[in-house]
Amino acid sequence: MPAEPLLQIRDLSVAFRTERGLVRAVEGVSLDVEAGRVLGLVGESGSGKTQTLLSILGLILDPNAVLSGSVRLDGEELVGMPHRRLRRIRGARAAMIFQDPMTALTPVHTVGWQIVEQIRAHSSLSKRAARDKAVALLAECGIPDPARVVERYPHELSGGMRQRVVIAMAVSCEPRLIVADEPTTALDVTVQAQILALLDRLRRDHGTGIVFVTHDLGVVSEIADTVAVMYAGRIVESGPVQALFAAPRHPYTHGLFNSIPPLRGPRPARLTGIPGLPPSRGAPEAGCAFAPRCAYAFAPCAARPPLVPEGGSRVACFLPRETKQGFRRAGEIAA
Amino acid sequence: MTAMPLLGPLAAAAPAAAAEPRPLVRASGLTKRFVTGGSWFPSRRRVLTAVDDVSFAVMPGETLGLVGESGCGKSTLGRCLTRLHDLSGGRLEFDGRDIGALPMRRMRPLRAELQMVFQDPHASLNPRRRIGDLLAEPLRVHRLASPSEIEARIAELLASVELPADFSRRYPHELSGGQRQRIGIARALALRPKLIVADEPVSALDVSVQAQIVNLFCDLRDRFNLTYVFIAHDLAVVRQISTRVAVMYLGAIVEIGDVDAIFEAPRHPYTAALLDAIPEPHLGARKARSARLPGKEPPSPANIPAGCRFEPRCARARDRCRKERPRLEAKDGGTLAACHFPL
Repeated sequence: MPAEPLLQIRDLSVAFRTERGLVRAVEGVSLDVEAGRVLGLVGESGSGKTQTLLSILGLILDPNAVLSGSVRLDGEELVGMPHRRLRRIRGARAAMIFQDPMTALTPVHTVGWQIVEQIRAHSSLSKRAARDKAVALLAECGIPDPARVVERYPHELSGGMRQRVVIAMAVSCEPRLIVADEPTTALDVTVQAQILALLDRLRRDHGTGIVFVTHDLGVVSEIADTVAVMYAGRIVESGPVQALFAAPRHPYTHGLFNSIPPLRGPRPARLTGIPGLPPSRGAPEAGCAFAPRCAYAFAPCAARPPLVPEGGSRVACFLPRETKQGFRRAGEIAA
Repeated sequence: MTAMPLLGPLAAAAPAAAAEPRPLVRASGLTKRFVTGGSWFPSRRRVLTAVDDVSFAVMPGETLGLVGESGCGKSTLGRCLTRLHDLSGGRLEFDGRDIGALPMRRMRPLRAELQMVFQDPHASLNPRRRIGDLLAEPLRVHRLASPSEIEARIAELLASVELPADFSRRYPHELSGGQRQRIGIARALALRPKLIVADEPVSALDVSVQAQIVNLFCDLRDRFNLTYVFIAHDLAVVRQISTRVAVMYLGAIVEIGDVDAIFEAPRHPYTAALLDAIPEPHLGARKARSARLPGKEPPSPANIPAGCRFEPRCARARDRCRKERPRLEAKDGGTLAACHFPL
């Protein structure tokens, strides 16, 4: 059997039955994550990036959700797996980090208690051994004075410290895969840099695969090996970070780069940006979802563009190759 | 469009000019303290100095970007400038008038001239009222338009923030985040202010929408001769919109200067560390880091170090930094920095 990637998502779709009909939150998403690699999943609000992430661990519990496709972790199918078995995988072989660390922490127990509980749920360590391990994990996550921090309650810690505690919990059972939903968005840049360095060390030292959801292309360039850009529930462009950042091929990706002011070099008089608003109701039934905001839209955009290989990436756009090659990153003059 | 309108006010505000124009805002020794805790146990009362002896001036037409990490006091300073907070000490002049100690009743007519735009427009727009009413309210309160003029003025305001006139019939919940922020800006514009203090006005928006609002801020500044104090944690946005930048740390300005000087040749180690920490998508690769901060927690504003406030986290700190607090003074390179051993 050929080697399968750590995480293999094929044709994943998530839709929600609502009073106003079916909302397609995620449509036909396919992704691979290798061990020790980081996939950056980028998109604006409503792009379906969080729903994609939640469906990996079977965390979409809405009875009106309709899920199809395949999610395989280490060759094992997770879609349709009974909850009891999923619970043994969550936390042990795959862990999740949320944007708000208080989502994962209870205010009524010390952080030490919570890490010990997590370790003992998935292993046969004694209480004392689990506690020693908790202290060691906190130290590894860059928490000063870990022996004292285990006695603290979450409210006594800063946001950056709480996020480190959550990461310590996530890695406590040495998971093969970490899925992280905007884990640094609420943090200051100096703390963000430390958390990104920590995640980078984890994947190098432990070979953990990471899916990192963010809206920040800068963060992607810091941490990811591959990147997938989502718009209205679909992947519009994906590929290795260097290739995609050097020459974005999809008008939306290009627009995202043009929306971000450069930190060095000449300042543009105006940001080019993208006109209009991101769609709020998932993928349209037909056609390219980005066409209404796209300066290049033409007749073929009435049909849905397939995601096809092009120049080292995969792009879902009908525009001729030459047009797409003309896209330049803003601020390129600086480099 | 060229870059000139952006850079124009900067040249006008050069300190070397012979007939120096009067600053629109001048703060000297501005201080704001909060007393926390102790409502049951007075012994637990703590004094927290959110803004500590801050002095600066903003020239007409200038945009002063105010940056720093959460808890550095940038929002509190913004609220002090518009007198949404009473000052604990220091002087505040607006357009030549001393407004630092004006009672609320006498502050009121001045409010028309100094307006504020907030991060979350949803929280500042009454959900039960139509956009038209929300825009008419400041006009009525300040009697700036007769009832017959109000409708035309509302249409004009909506047009200036690039929204169609029929938006006046809508309710806030019908609008997207970007559209709501446009309404927040239109409301601030309604009274034809001289100064707008904008507190994180784009940080809750998606990047593509954020670019539109940043452009709008720039256009309005040129059209209505506005002066901005633009508070944000996103340094790239601040660089795009500002002519001068002030970097705050633990309640004080540690460096202030021309936007290009601050970004290209920062003198304060904290400014350098802050710039260093920002991931840059346009580099297309992992950024080489030099000045990473140690993993230490920043000290709390309830316990500001006696010497340099940045000393506990500073790689360049020496003995003198622990003992003597550096003053904000001119360094070569064009910025003012509060550091004994600048970069």
